[in-house]
Amino acid sequence: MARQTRACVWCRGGPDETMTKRYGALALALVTALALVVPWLSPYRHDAIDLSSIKDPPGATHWMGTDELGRDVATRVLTGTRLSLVIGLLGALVATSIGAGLGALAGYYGGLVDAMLMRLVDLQLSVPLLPILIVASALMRPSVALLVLMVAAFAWMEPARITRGELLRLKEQEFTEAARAIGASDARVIMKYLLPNALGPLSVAATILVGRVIVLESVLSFLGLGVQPPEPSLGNLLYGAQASLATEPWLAIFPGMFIFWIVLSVNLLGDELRQ
Amino acid sequence: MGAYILGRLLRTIPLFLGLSLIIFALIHAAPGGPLTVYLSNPNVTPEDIARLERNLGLDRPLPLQYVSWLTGFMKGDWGYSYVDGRPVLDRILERAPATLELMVSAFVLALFVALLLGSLAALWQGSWLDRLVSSASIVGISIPTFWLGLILQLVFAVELRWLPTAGRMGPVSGGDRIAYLVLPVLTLGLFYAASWIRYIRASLCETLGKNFVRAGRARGLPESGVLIGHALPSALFPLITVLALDFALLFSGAVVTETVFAWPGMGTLLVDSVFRRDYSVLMGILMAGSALIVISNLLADIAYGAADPRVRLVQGRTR
Repeated sequence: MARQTRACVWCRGGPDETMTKRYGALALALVTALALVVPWLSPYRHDAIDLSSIKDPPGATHWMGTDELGRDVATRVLTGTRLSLVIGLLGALVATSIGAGLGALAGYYGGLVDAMLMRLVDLQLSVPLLPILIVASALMRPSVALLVLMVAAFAWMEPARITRGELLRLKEQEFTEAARAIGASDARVIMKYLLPNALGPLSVAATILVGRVIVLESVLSFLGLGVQPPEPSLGNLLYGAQASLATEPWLAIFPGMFIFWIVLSVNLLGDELRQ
Repeated sequence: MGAYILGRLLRTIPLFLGLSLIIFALIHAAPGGPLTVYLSNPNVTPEDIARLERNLGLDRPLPLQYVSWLTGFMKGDWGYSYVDGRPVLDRILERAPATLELMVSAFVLALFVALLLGSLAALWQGSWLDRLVSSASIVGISIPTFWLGLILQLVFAVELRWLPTAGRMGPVSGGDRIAYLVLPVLTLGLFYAASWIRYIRASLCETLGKNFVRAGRARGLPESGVLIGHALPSALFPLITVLALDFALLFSGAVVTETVFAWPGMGTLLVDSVFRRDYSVLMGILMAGSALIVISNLLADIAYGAADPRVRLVQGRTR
């Protein structure tokens, strides 16, 4: 009984107090550093074919083994990590910008603008996301840039809702009124006074989005629809890995482990930021 | 209540129209159009394609095509597969049970696990169990579903040989059938179990501090009575919406899971049809997926409104 009442004070921190000691930021920094440094320091090129060492298991010379063309998996995985990180960051940035812009319009102006934009959010949230992306990327055979835009086009709703909610709250406060009183235009009030104050919750959503975009990209590439070979991405390295699961399991293990690592670090980071 | 349900029902109509418009536009924006599949076939002449376009109504203006497609869709005429000429609705309906079996099993398992672990973690906040469950849940929401599927296959099917790698057994055999179901269900369910654990734990933690819970304890109710009779119903009530939304999202997860495990459901049909450019089947599956989401949202709203009269009043006014 006594434990119960005391425990409620503990509860304040939210579900993940136990794992939030900046491990997220640390893990993300580490994987980014590896992705930047390893392909550069590695004695192998990510696309260098070596027919004398085909399908070598992980060992001293090739830490993550080699693939069916004798290419070094470690170098390929970390080159792919670089691309996946770029796609994740860009996708989250684009989605958050679209969401912040539309959410700000809805929250600030309210009324018809708000009603219409929120109906659009409802509509987009009802789209079967992955099936639509699978069909769209099969039909359009997107470049990496188009892929980022496509994913962002279906991921801006959460930032939009958050910005709208924040602006609804902030626009009633006195500093907004003061800004208007000194003659600031609507655009200036939104950009200079309101949006900066919404950045906190928005950055949490953006962080989580990085992970979601990376997972979406890797699923599409895993199906052979996203980033196209020979350019390695964490997803397309897994394409075909299933067929050789019994004989060369390392081809399936390592790329996925890095997706998992990145997503876990951004989720931890999101929880840390939330507090 | 009747007016509330009617209002919700009416709101799904523009939503559904919007979704159908997105799907129609997407398919028709494709380079080459719906008949691309025949262009590379040496036995099909340009005249054949022109005749096909006329027969299928593809030479009419797009808005007309949209209207006739949508009215046909509402009447149950979903068109014919370009690949084998069978009705799209038949092809989808024969795959739907496998997908639903997978989704429902994963949903039930995830909910059971989440209720159990989420409640335990909330009850013993700060204990080693809570730390373990909370850590496991953030790991669970971070594992990419398709990779988890590959790893489970590697461990339990390839290395240990406890379970079959992929596929599905027909409705006759009992034990074997479950053996085929285990890995796909674990793959699909883990993410949702983990995310619901976080939700249930947070919600229950908050509720356990409320006055009515303390009042229950003060009346001398046993701890289990307080939990089951008072705290849980109140804490789980907001979960209705999350569950309904997530059930629809399970469809996306099922597509991936089915592909990894060669599960003969709508997901593998979608991926096959994508590679065969079977546009009418693609449109059918996308529409079925959208309908699933719209209907789950509607049911969630109705359940929510039925359970809490305030929702009916407030949402009726502001939204």
